[in-house]
Amino acid sequence: MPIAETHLVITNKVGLHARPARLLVQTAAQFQSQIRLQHAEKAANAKSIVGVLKLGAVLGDTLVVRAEGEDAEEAVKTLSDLVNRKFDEEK
Amino acid sequence: MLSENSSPMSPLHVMAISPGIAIGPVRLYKTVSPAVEMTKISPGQVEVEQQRLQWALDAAIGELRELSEHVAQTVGRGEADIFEAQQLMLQDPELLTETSELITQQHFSAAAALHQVAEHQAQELESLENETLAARASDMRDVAARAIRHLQAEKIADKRSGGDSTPQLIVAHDLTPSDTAIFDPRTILGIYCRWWSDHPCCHYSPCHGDPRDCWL
Repeated sequence: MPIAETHLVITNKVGLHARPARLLVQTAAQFQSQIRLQHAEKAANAKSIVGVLKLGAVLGDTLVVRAEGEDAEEAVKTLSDLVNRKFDEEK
Repeated sequence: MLSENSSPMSPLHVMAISPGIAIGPVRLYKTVSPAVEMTKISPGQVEVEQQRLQWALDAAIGELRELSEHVAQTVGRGEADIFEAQQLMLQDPELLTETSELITQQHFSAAAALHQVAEHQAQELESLENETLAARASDMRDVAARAIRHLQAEKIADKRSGGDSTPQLIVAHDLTPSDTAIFDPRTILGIYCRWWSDHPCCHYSPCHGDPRDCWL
């Protein structure tokens, strides 16, 4: 089973609060792969909004995104793009 | 909040979010959460109870979708975001799995199971150091209560219609997104709130922070 992993730095001002968390979860849900997020000692299913909120990730924090499945590479790339675009919040 | 021993004319020191003076009758607004009994079911009812859970979740998600569209049209797309996040809370795989397990393994009713899991999740959110994230606990309780009302067969009143059309001042302890989305701005002179998270109510004003004791 293909596995893809990358490190992402949260650069939008508000961190992973309601709107960014929603976008991240909705994006993750488009993929078949199982996607896990790791933030320090906390881990979450990227398709769980409560799990993502509970990570408590704020500006400057690093997340490890790990996807496992046929579309793992595309999933990680798409999520990376979303985070790197600051969730389209700040132009 | 107005304390019981305050005299009627005691000044209330609050954070002013928007300028202006409003005079009018006060309406004490309370969000009524359904009382949930920890009812158990027989093993033979498990399958039916699982179906009821899914039906109630679908009904609540449908309502949130409508609220989201209503707020998007009347306030703005950005302000409707919270209702989209709330829909995801009711579709959350962790919430669904844990609730389903409580029904299947411990034979709790759908309402009792959902209430326990949502309350646990809300408490975990509340424990976060970031207050903005911690405020999502009220969203979790709000959406669970919405689904539980369906399970308890209580018709949710549509406060947009048939309500008192007299212009009034709203005084509340807490306002959830569901509460504020159905307020009719034409009949509200002002809102005082003890606890106000970054809900759409707050987005009506320039304040996007975490105000308490505020006046809008």
